Amino acid sequence: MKKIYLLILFPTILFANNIELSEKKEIKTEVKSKCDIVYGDVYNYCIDKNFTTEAATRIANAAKTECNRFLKTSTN
Amino acid sequence: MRKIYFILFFSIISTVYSQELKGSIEYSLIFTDDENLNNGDLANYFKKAKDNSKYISFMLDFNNLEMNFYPIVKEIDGVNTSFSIAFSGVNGSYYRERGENTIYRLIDDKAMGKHIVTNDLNLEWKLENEQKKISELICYKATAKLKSNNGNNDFFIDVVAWYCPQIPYSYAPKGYNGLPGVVLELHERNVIIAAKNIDFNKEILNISKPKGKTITEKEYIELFQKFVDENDH
Repeated sequence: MKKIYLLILFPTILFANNIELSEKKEIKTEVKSKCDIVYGDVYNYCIDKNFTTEAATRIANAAKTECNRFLKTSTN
Repeated sequence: MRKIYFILFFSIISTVYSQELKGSIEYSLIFTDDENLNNGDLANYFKKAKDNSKYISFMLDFNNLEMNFYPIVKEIDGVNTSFSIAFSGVNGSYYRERGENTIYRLIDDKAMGKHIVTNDLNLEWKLENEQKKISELICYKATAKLKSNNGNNDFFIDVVAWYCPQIPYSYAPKGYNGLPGVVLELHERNVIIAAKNIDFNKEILNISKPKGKTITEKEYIELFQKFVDENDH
């Protein structure tokens, strides 16, 4: 009887773990794509306003870092 | 004989004087209002840059042979100074030898590592008649147009410098060259880097030419953009 319980329990735990992992992966992908959009928007705006490529990249990178930090804390 | 003594005395005095003229200048970072930044997509980020600019200062260490300009960031929990630094246009520490045009910029990034970026900059300054006192020293105004390109188009950035002939070396924030005195105030777009403290008696100066492989600004920007694309931080 114990064996049967174990046989049922083990795949269930594995399945649940997989769901959790894929959920985490989904959140990570969502954060990445949202923050990449922020990066792109800020970069293009800076270029449009005649910032140098280096300044535009640095400002957009700071915006992306802040976005990553914000979304990571809000999803935890 | 008197003439020889006089010439000898004068050359000794001038040599000693030029050898001893060294020091350190501390600058503040100030952002003035800009219509493009106060409104639109960057407004929120620019506000953070302005609010936290008080935690950033810059140092220009110099002697009669070379200079080094670098930022000092006051680290405080919960304060994000990355926007202030990004909007300031200063990235890394700028080394230049007196009389040379090449600026060696050491960019030491926690994630990207160390890079030495070189840039030959020769601005055509227009000396103006205006003058003002900064830290009790008389400074004169000079203007220039910095030619730039961001892949989108060519454009010019207006640069205003207040230089001090009483410190007769051609040194400036960001390593700018070509003026008959150290620049005590630099305006670029809406960014002002303004001297607030001058110390001619500082014992230890942070000046050393970065050693290692150098890359151009274009190569560095390509590396940086690739890094941003591939990493989340």
